[in-house]
Amino acid sequence: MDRRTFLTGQQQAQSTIRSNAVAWMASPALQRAIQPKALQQPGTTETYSGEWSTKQAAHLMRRAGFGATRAEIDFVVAEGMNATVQRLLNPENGKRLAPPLKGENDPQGSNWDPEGADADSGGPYTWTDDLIEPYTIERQQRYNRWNREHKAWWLRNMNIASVQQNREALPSPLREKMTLFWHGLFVTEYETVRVPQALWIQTSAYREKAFGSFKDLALYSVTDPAMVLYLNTNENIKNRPNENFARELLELFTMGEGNYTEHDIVELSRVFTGWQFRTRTTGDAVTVTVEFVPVLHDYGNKEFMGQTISSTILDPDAGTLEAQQVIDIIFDREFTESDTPVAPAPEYVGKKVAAVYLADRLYREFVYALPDPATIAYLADVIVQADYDVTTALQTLFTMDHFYSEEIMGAHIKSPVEYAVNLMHAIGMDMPLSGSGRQTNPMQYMVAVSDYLGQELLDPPNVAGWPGYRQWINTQTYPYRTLISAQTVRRRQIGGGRFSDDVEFDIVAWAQSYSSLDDVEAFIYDVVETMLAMPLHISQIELLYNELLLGAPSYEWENILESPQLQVRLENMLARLTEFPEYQLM
Amino acid sequence: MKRRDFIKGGLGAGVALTALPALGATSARALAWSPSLQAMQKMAAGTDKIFVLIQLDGGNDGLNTVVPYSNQLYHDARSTLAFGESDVLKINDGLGWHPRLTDFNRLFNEEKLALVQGVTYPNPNRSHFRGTDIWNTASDSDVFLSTGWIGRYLEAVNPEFPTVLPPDPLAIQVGTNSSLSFLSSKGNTGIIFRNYQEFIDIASGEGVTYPSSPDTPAGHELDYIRSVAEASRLYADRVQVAADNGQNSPSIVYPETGLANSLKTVAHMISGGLQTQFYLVSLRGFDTHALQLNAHDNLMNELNGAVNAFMEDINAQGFGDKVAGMTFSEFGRRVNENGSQGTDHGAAAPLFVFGNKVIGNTIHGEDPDLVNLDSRGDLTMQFDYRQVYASALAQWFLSPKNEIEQILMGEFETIKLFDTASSVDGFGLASDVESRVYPNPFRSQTVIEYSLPESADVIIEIVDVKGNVVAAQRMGRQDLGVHRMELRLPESVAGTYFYRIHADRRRVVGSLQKVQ
Repeated sequence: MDRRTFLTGQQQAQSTIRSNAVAWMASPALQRAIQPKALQQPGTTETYSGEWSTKQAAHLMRRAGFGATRAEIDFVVAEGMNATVQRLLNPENGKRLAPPLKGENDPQGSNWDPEGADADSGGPYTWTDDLIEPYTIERQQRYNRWNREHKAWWLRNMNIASVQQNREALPSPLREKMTLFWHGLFVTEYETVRVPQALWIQTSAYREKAFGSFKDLALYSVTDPAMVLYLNTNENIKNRPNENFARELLELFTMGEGNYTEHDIVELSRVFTGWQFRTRTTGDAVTVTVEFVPVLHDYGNKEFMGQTISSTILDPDAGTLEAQQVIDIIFDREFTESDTPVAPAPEYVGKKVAAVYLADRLYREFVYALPDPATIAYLADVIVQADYDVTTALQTLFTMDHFYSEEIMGAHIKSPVEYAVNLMHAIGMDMPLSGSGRQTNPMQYMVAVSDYLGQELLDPPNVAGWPGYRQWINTQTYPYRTLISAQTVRRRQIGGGRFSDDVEFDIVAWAQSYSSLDDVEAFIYDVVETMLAMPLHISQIELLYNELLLGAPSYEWENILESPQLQVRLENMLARLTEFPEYQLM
Repeated sequence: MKRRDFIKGGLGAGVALTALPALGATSARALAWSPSLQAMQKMAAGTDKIFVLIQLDGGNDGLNTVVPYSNQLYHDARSTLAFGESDVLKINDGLGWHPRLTDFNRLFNEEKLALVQGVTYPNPNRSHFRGTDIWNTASDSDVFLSTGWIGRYLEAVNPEFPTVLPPDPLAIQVGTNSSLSFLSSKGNTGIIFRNYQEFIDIASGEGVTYPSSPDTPAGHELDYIRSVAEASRLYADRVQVAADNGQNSPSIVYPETGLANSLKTVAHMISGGLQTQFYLVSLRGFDTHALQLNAHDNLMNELNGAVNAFMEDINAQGFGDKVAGMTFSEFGRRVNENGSQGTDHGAAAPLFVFGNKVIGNTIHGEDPDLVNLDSRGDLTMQFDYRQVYASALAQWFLSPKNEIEQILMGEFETIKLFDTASSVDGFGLASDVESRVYPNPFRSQTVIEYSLPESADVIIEIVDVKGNVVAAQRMGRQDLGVHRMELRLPESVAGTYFYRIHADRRRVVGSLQKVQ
């Protein structure tokens, strides 16, 4: 029975056994709105060997980056899948970026251009290596401003990252995406840490180690300055253990809930005693650090997951050695059928817990919100064989038949950061970090957009990170998304104010980047194929067509292309396109 | 700029798309505003009661909220955090309120606030996220559910949701991160906004009908997004009406805090006539691992001031009797303070139920037992949190007993929290609909027989043990007398199911057993 029949109701013969009564599900469309659809024929774990064209290239760049311009997609189509994935995973590209700068409100403010003449100078005016000052309200106001600059700086680097670039000092799309991934996994919040230098050290480490070893990152998290402040390692000292970091390391960073006991947490917190947040000046180097203080460390034996952790009294290396031991134990742990509150999927039994955890997180981030146990188990095996090397994991994922399956395309809901950056990137819009007008940092607008839509960079809601997926879309955020995009393509803020002239965006030039521009139908087809991950209904295509032609016959298009009206028509078409619910998917 | 102005000015009149709506955009809207449906809706809901949940996010320290000030073990466990006799607002010789809970103390004495001690669940979980999910979904600690307890209640009383969107939102969350508690097996029953004016400005607009979507994973997500788009647009108009018609009492000054602002909005919406029955607001920051004293002091002050202003407002406006509320938090905190002048994650803790019709000045349960702690050093359970939910559903919403069992997935003894005896007398919900199933257990088909005391529109639903509606049938208008429906479930797995019969405002729930 379909929905309409249901709505009108069916008059039934009463008070008799109804032999024709059937059980029925709620209408198909309604059911779809409720439940995610399980994959039916999701492809294999073999290397993808099917067609390589705009569709696959655009899919790869949306998932493994922040979308792509038409030129970038053409480039990726020409390069092929393997070469592109190699390029995205280049071990040097985008590894160390020029740091964010002090804004104009700071004494040493400058309009330093990270891509121009100052590219390799290191930049004298950053705040990232400024000494930590004692707390004052003024200090904190300055720190909060620097944190906002860090956010804008990061968004801009995501936006200007291009698959066509390959230099250590220029941002790379997948590396920025993985930096964001690690930020959402090994979480800290600026709201708690309140020291922007510490967040800078952390995001720089995630960027540098983005394609490294998951195990190394877990070990790194023990002594990351922001983490030490955030999860109370600073207060975790001999005879006064604080469980905060130990619990989250197991529950949220490496294994998932249930694969350990409360006793393991108590013992693990003793292992991490003695690490202290310190500030130090060494030449012009970074001044925030974490030191091991032996007298604050608990040198007693610890029983962790059935093994004894011990070290020599007052051994100054005990903090590192014990941390390495427990990380080894965690990463060697295997799923059994009985030791979690809910039995693991049968595919996972006997596999390493941390490898499944990473595979599952990567799958949800890059493939689909409904985990596919067979694929995840396969990926976990790859991860273990590569000793937790993330490059191998990603290379496998992005060249897998499964990843390019029709069912995967378009099934991912854009996060606010993906939404905001994708919006700018795909139309070639650049918001610089300094401006001449009232908007001294135009990118701050997109920072506000991302915050508004529920994803505050450097400030996840809690230590579990952003829940993501359908949580991104609710009655508060969805209407904002459609309004923001429709305004952005018109160079306007949601309040109506115009973007400053420093924002680089030429919609006519954007249209001219499509070789099919002369043929209006082909142009619309190419724009849709480039910007959306799922096809539109013919009636929606007609709306786009109508925005460009306003009822004129298609042979008028060549005149419209020459007319000053072109800009407004393109704006209306792009606004309309980005208002379709389909635009929220990728 | 208003959304509607923007659309009109910027894009020209919206062009309706052809073909099928995902959610019956046009028809739902038309139906939603017909007075008869609205009346039916209200009757189906069974009550005009309103329930406000206040989430204390992060794990509230129960022992420093309701303080066992005369217990030496409390002082021994908390050398820097303990409150003494002179600090607390005494309840009795053993217990006192946190010094900032002055109005809680007064509301308690005025018999408008009750205290339930030692609330948690068997095998409590110390994870924030699991703990919060457990409280929102009303599951056992080792069961993972994807629907919330309120969502399951609301779908039980609104069988046509969301094929026909109810005229008013069924539930409203004032905040930013969507709670699991409003999720039903048919989608989110709630809407969320931070600020109603912002919501009105941004979400109202022209109706759109959508083309049908493909039956693919992307198609499912697209339908989800469209359903949110539709709910936003429809309810922005209703919230606008409520905002225009409603108010906060001019004589009440709400504190300038986040929680007070949220509750102020709730009072404004109720005052404006929204039929919404559930509101959820939250206060963050209870995860006090270090330097707790100051932080917790501020939180208690914010909680106290906000609830007090809200109670004054709803009473000044005369609708206090139909509003009740409760606090909840994912867990309490450890008895012993840690080395950082804070407390780590614990288990059982007190919660509060407030409202004119709450049986106030009552403490349910014993003073916290600081001698017999559980194996991990936490306070032990006196009440399962689902007993509080069951009590609210039974006494506040007059939900029938077997319906509550289906919603909460088990039988939970109620606690006498609400004074709603008079309403119960006048209502007699569903007691005059008889039903039975034969054969039961059954293999693939069976017959549900039921009698109607008067003619009614009947809908029958089949619900699985996790609360998912797996089948439904509209029977149409049926006369007084005995009716039978033949049920076939050949495809469904063996196990327990529930049937739910809606006959206008009456509801009856029973169980069925399918065997292989």
